Amino acid sequence: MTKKRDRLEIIHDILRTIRDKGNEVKPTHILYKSNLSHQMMTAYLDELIEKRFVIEKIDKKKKKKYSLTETGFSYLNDYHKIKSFVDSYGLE
Amino acid sequence: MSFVNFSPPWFLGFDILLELLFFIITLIISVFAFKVYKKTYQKSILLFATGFFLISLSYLIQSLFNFFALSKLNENICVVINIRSVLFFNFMGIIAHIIFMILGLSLLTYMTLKIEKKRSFLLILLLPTLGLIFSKDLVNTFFMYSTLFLSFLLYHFIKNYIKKKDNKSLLIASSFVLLFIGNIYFILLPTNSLFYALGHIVNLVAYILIICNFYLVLKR
Repeated sequence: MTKKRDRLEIIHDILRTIRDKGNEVKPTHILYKSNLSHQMMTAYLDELIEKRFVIEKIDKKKKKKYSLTETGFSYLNDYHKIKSFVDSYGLE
Repeated sequence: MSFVNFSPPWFLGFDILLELLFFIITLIISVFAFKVYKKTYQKSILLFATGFFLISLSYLIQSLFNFFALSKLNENICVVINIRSVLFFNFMGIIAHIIFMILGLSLLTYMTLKIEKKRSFLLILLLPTLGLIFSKDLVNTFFMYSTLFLSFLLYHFIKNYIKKKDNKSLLIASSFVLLFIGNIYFILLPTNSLFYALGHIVNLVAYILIICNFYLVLKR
């Protein structure tokens, strides 16, 4: 049985999905890759937009697309240090 | 009275250096935790960072006031700031150290209990505060409350190690075992001044383990 992901891991998975798809991705792709319910994914995306990890764009076909900001890239770069620190103190 | 009054003569001065070292280590952890908070916006990390920051301040105050008492600088400071009694000045140092340490430990304990209600934090903070105000032996009561808080923190870190089973969580759990033992030595201070030195040395080993864990976190 796989371990339940914590909040930091879910955020990491969403941000990595966006980065790995050339930093421009549709919500359906995030939904598919992040393995979350639609409701959960929307809640996480809203939080990531509010905290400026991700920006939402509307393309020419009026479809939503998501990209990482500098903060989002910085989170991905430092993720292993953050996770290691949080795990060692049980701060999740 | 100052904390240095508890020290065996051969340990005078070393205690100040160690407290300064504890201040630097807890400050480093606190600053890093604040940086982690800025990237995660997780409330538990903010509480942890603030808790460690308050503890670092308590060590700084303890170190400074012990230095003032040892170098007799406290007498000059009392003249400059117009305080008549050196004893009162030293007592203020003890009070400030106790306030910051109890605040820091309460915040860390509140963080580990994972309770959202702010009233719970007030309860955690107010109970020892009242106990300290009405205590006849302020310093010993303070060490007893610190040990009580550390026992809750120890439970959290041991549980975390059992869950994670990795070297880093083992280092942190071990460091809190030592901090707990160090505080028990401080409780035993009225029986023998040697416990003052032993408490500091055990705390030194605990903070070395904390900084080792920090090195492993950064190394990754």
